[in-house]
Amino acid sequence: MRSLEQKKLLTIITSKQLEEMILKKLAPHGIGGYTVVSGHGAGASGIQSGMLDIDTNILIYIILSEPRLERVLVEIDRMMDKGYRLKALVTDISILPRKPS
Amino acid sequence: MSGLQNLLVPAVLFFALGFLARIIRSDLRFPPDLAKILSIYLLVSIGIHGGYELAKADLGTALNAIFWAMVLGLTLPVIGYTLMRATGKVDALNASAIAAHYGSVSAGTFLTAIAYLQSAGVEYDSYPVIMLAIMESPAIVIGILLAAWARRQARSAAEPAQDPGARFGVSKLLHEAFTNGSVVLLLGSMAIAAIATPASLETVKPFVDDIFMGVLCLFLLEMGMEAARRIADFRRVGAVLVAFGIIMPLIGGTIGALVGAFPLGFDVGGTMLVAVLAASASYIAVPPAMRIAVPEANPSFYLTLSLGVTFPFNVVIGIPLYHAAAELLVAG
Repeated sequence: MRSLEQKKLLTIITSKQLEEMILKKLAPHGIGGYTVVSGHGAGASGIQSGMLDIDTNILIYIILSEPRLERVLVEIDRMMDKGYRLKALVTDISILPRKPS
Repeated sequence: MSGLQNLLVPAVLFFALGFLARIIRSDLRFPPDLAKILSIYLLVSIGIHGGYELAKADLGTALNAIFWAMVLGLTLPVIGYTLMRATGKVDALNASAIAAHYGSVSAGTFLTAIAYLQSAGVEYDSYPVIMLAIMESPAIVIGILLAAWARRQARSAAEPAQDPGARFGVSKLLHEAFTNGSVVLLLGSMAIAAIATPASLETVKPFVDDIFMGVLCLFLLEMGMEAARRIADFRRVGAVLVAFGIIMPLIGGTIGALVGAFPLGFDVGGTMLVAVLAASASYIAVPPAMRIAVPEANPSFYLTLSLGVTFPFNVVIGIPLYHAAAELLVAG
């Protein structure tokens, strides 16, 4: 059986309108795999009812190694400094790898 | 028929029903993406109608309408920005982002105005449909320029901050604005209807004509719920901006009515539609552009104003007022 690998799960909560821009900014850091889920909610940016693209939130899930995470977080920090509204959550995870180690 | 009686049409009443449903905390909710599907249908339908009429229209008048659409799209944001900054209560970047919304247009308000005109039996020029497509985007350029200017004003020499829009690429942003899905759908449908043979267009008539008002009712039902949801954000937005969301459409509507009546010389219906275009605030093309180009601005401000204040104001109060103004200017 494959053995579990220790990885990081980065979850970015943001507006659907920022999806393309964020993924483009993360691509140079080796982020090519991700999962995006739409949602609705509310926060400092007001109500995000999910009715139209303009008020739909998304969650971007990215599984990555710790060294890569550091570089990605620096990029996210830069975006937040510019005023972009997003939340970044990091979780330790164990993953059953696709390829046996 | 009085203005109030004209409001007693299914489309407007469904808007009121949606609003009421949220107020009484009904569990009524649209399935995900239905509102997006309905808005695609409405844009295609209005595009086909407009294209069919424009194929028979005068090119000179059409070009004149495009010119005045650009003028309105470029000047209304500057008026809005100046007004907000004069209050001293709105910072420059939020004022830039909000102003851009008021230079662009709301297709939902435009469609409601058409339902209003049809219920009143008022004929209308087809040229405002092309103005609807043209006015979606120019205000975005002005919003970006106002924000860049505001940043330059605020920036100290020791802090050479960059423009977020510039970093993402202003040309890319503008490309997205002018190729926005609603613009492509509207212009594309107009082109299809203008090129297609009249006999072949008859085959889509049941789709674009017969069910149009029913679909508009469903769309406005959801928009009513959306408007009511935004009431919770009024406190965050503040009284000054809520007042702006009512005063700005009146200013835009007056300017639009004057443009429709005099330089364009439209009939009462056409003049009213130009007033509605100038009075409405975007909720499709501009918010994504401002999210990217002016990230410092709070989206709850411009979305609450556009969807929660100006849209319901125009649907319930504005449209009859713009009709009265058009009658006054055109019919004397």
